[in-house]
Amino acid sequence: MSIIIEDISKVFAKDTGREVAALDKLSFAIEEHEFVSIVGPSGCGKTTLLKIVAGLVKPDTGQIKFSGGQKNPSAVIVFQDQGLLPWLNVLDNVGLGLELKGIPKATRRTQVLEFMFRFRLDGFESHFPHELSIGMRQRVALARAFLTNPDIMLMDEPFGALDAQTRLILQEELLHTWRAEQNTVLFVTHDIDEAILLSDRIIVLSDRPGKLQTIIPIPLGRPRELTLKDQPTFTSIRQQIWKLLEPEVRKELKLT
Amino acid sequence: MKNSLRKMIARYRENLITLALILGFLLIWELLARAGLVSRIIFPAPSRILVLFFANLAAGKYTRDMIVTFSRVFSGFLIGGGSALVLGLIMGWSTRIRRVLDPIVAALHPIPKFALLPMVIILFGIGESSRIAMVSIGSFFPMLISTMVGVLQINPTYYEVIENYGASRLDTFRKVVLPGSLPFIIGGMRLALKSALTLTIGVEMVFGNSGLGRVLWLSWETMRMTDMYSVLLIVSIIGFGLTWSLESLKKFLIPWHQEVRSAE
Ligand SMILES: Nc1ncnc2c1ncn2[C@@H]1O[C@H](COP(=O)(O)OP(=O)(O)OP(=O)(O)O)[C@@H](O)[C@H]1O
Ligand SMILES: [Mg+2]
Repeated sequence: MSIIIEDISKVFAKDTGREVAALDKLSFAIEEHEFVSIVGPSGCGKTTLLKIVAGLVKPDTGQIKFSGGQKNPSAVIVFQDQGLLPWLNVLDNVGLGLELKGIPKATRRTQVLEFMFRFRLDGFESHFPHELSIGMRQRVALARAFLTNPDIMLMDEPFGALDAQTRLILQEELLHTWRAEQNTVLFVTHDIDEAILLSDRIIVLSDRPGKLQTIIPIPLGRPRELTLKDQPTFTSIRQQIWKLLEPEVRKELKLT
Repeated sequence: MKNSLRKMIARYRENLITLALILGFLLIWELLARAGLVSRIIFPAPSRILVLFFANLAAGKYTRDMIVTFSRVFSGFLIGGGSALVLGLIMGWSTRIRRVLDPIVAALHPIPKFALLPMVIILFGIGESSRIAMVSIGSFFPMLISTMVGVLQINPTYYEVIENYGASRLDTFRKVVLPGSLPFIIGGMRLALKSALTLTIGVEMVFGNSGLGRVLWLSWETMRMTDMYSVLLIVSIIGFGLTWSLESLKKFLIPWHQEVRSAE
């Protein structure tokens, strides 16, 4: 599923009458089966963009087009704060997407258990989200999203709260699933190394309101090894992105 | 052995202090009454009250009135609380309906419900329906406001999550609105039952032909103080019992709740 993001702007009106411009005339395109990361300072509208692509938020201007003129492809968000329903146990949270599709409980159960196993959640079926560590909650959110096998996977800093080791394992798991299922992935992260390691291209956004700054292709073959991080290509891309990002982050933090 | 006893004491320390306070109060009362330092007619010794209380209870003296009072509390709670539950969910969920009805609720809510008694009698007559109407009105507002607040405090992300997975309106209600507001609904039930009990006793004291409220008033008028204290005891036991059953219901219905609150 290819995605064309065309001229998207969004202004939020607060109750106080103040307005916040989140996105400003943003345009870029994502190829079918592509893995694209988005980096940009905090508050530049990354989450908003994902919600617009998923159809949860209406843009003020512009439109999202999908390949073949399809209107509503399946696009699932892995929410930044996990978005697990506190009143459902792990089994029901992971199975939520399937349940809403009307898949009967017995069929659902085997699939859910399989995915729970893949994300190393087995044994926690009857636990509630508050009984899990943050890392486990993120794995529940990932399992839930992957289980529905959407055309488009929208991931909002899904590994943000993970320790370094778990993060590596899940990054590998993500790449593996992506290659197998061939979904199109839009991946928001604050971690530049993670973006380089995972993506085909990286979209760099400016400080709020988010405008397109640069698109950086990653000329690294796949599958990618961790040792890539020390290669000159990798380090030069890292420097290139940080040079673009640093002034924007400083602006956001009001340091200049 | 000694160690485990010490642990027990440490664990229930506050409860033990509560118990000691109550017993101390009753002991002083008992001594004062026996010594004749307070009027034995108005403050009969607690031991005498308790003996008569259990004798009367066993003889079934209060049974009929207890049943009457209980059924009034429940009918009023079901009618008032039930309709408030439905309306509260709707008002919490629909911004538009809330904007229309909120001012009306805000205007009616602060009226002391007992002040509506004359108007209710005009509308419903002096029969049973007036009494049930009063109790219903009393249960209505606490239930309405708790339910509405319950829906409003649901984290908006949950709506986005469920919409993202293609939920219908009914799915959203079943999976987010209802379970998300349940802790507040149960809290509302507690307030509504308390209010129902208060109004039932009050209305019975005014109408004066049946129920624990009538016994209470009659015992005061005829200066039978042990009866009065007995009824007070029964009413407080009922109130305590209702609260306790709701607390148990909570552990069963919302096992996910306690920890969520302490985590926030
Ligand atoms: N529902 C909303 N109502 C009002 N303002 C909003 C809403 N959602 C987002 N905003 C505002 O829009 C701007 C962009 O928010 P968004 O969450 O998209 O940023 P972000 O890039 O995801 O930030 P972060 O990296 O910190 O997650 C912020 O200033 C935010 O306050
Ligand atoms: Mg965000």
